[in-house]
Amino acid sequence: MKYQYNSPDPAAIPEISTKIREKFPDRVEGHVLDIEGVIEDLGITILPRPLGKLLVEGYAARDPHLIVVNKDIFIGSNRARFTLAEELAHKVLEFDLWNSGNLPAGAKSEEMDPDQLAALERDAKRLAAEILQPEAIYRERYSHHWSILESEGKTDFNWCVRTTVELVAGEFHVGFLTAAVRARELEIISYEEYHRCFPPVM
Amino acid sequence: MDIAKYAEFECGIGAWLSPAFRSRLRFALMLPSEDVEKFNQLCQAAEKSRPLAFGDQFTREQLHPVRLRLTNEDEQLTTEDAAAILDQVFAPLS
Repeated sequence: MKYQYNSPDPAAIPEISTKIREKFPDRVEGHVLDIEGVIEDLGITILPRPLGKLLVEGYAARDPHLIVVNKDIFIGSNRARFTLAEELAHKVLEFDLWNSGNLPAGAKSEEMDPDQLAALERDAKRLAAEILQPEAIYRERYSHHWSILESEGKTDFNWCVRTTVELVAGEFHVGFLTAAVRARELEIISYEEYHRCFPPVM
Repeated sequence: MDIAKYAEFECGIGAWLSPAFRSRLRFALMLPSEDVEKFNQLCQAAEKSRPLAFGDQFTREQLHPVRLRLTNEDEQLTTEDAAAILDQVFAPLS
């Protein structure tokens, strides 16, 4: 029978993230989750390899105990953190797949129905974002920094958004754009505001 | 220190045991002085044994990419892409 990915209830994503963060209290310092440490604690080895121009940031390997990452992403460790979180999310969301021993037909990325693949990639990104920047904490920190800027009389909306996102990104040890995307996904800023404040770099 | 070489070393691949690498490793591991002699003995023993290659430790089946994060998120992996990734993963480090 062909492999079928079953998307979890979106409400379950924060619950899964909370369980992961609670399971590894020693790996949480301030608001920062030591994602490499969590992966290590789960008995998973991270293999950095030079993946050159293949445009692969990282992947969850067939062996449930191995994650391969493009060693070049370690140059910017905050970027690596999201890649690692996403690969861990895959292993969590499809736990039975990784631990069944046999990979069922149609389970590899290149064999999957594009809609199924899009759904599982979307879920993995959501879980990765929630693991690294839990919604409740993100909203609280964003409001905190925003209110300080307001109290200082700052009125340039775009500047305030960028500054707030930068401060929040620093608190979670994630990339600036990762934190910006999170603000948009949580509808703290609108799609238009996101594109106005964070125009693509040419 | 090259993180890929360091990871290989952690997996028991001793090809990187040059004096310079060994020295950097000592600092990276923050070895206390009382452990340095033992460390050097183990390194010498490893140098004398048959050097393992990455392919001795892992198989292509084990490392087949099942879920990937691609730079271009709109692309879907092909069978040829998966083979090219594995070729790159198993290429000896320079």
